[in-house]
Amino acid sequence: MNNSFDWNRFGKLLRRDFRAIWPNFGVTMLIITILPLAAWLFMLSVDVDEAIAPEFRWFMILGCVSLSACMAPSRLYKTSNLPNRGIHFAMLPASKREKFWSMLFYSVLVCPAMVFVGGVLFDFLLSALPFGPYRQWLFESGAWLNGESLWDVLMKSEYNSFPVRSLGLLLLMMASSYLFGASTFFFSATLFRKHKVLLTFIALWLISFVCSLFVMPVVTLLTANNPEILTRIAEILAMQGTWYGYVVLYVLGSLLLLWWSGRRLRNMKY
Amino acid sequence: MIEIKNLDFSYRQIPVFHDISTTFREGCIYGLLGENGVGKTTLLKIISGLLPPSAGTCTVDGLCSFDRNPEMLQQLVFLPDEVILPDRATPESYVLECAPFYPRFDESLFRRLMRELEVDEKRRFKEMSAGQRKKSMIAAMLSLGTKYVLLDEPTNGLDIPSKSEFRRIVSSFLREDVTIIISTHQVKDVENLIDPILILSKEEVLLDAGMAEISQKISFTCDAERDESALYSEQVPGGWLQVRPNNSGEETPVNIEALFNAVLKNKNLVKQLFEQKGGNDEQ
Repeated sequence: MNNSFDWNRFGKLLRRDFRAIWPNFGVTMLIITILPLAAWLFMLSVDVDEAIAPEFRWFMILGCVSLSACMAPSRLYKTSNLPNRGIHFAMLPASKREKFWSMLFYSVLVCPAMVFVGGVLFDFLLSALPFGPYRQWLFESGAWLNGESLWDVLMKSEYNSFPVRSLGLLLLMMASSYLFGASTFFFSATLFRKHKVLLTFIALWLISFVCSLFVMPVVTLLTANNPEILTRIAEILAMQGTWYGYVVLYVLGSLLLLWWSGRRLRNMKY
Repeated sequence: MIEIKNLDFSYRQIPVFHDISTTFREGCIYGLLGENGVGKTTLLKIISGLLPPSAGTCTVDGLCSFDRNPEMLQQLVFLPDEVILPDRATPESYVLECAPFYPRFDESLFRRLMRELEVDEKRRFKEMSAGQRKKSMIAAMLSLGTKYVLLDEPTNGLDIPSKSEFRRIVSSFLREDVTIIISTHQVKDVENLIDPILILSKEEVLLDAGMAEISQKISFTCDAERDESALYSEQVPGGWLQVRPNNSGEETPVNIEALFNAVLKNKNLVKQLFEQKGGNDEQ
């Protein structure tokens, strides 16, 4: 018997985990999918004769996808790292590697993809109504094909000087940052035992706060002697190559977090 | 065969086992006894691969238990004392969810056991009492058809008829290739069921012997007068239940509760008595 990875056994595990999606995450996923309805209702209620642009609707759908990726690992596998409740998961006859890949598949890929598809369909449904602020089809403006347009909506005017003007780089940035975010929440689902999503947000806030404590004095020191250095840093940050550097960093960071999550799952004690 | 060799285990700074070795063979129902906190559940968790030993090894059919290999997990089930299950699940949905992973799962056995234990397999766990949940899980665990069944305090929460039914089901379930390990405080619940017996004390195994060996080496008698030299005496209706080294060679039925108390009161003496012939290894 292959104790490391067996496709037949992995298939059984995928089927089992798929059946667990609805009871553990179904309703939440449904609510997340229809969150843009709040904006639709708001616009309808304020009686302003203004349409919600497809670009903004894309932004909302992607936000919902990100939210589902934050919540999926902790909702789908909330007991996997708990001393007593996790015994059932730990003792299921599948290898640790199979369990890890199944968790990753559903948390990072399948559930967010379901929210994405659901979000797009729901948007079509609202667009089909003869009234309301959705007056164009989602794909009608071409925003989904036009990196520049979507970028303007996402980042607004203050960052307009950033030279990300290619759809390829934009998609790469979005995919890698999504992977990094999803990996962070996947890792934290193996780390925290309760309030996994909330504690992750708090931990991220704390990390950024501590980082700023170190970065601010350095920046102050540097600019005191050479005030032009900030402009130079901004120029470097705005270079196309730097953005590819971010992509590489995001991917490396994601791989590190996923490796660490796998290690935690392998050595989990119950 | 489950083999534990020179095993050490501690929870942070608190030692639980030090250099313990034992073997669990097929075809036996082992009784794992010990006072609160000596590590009965911990030992079951180590065997199940839920906890790693600090030193030494624990193998199940030659596979390191903490690796939690599918090959091992397919042959071993562990029922913890506190059964926490998804509220929405039913015993039927639970067992059918697990079934594809256990090649020897027997659905008809599951339904029969559920009938015998008088639990509705279609009822949600959240609508059940603790005893009914436990009975459901016992039926589920046994029907998965594994070689090793580890039960932690299985009779806790069961009513009196269910305890008898549990004994009957477990004894009928025993086959040549099956090992059942029952950890319990309720020795009366498993009397006439367990053989051999493993008594744990702080960091060590005090007794690891089969019933035949125990009755060869220790006698259990009821006398009118108390014998001060006995390993253990207890007043019972009609006299004194006394536990002594068996010097006459006449075998008497083993009273597990009295044995347990005698072993705890005379740790070194009992160990010496049984070390003369190496525990259940030589049965």
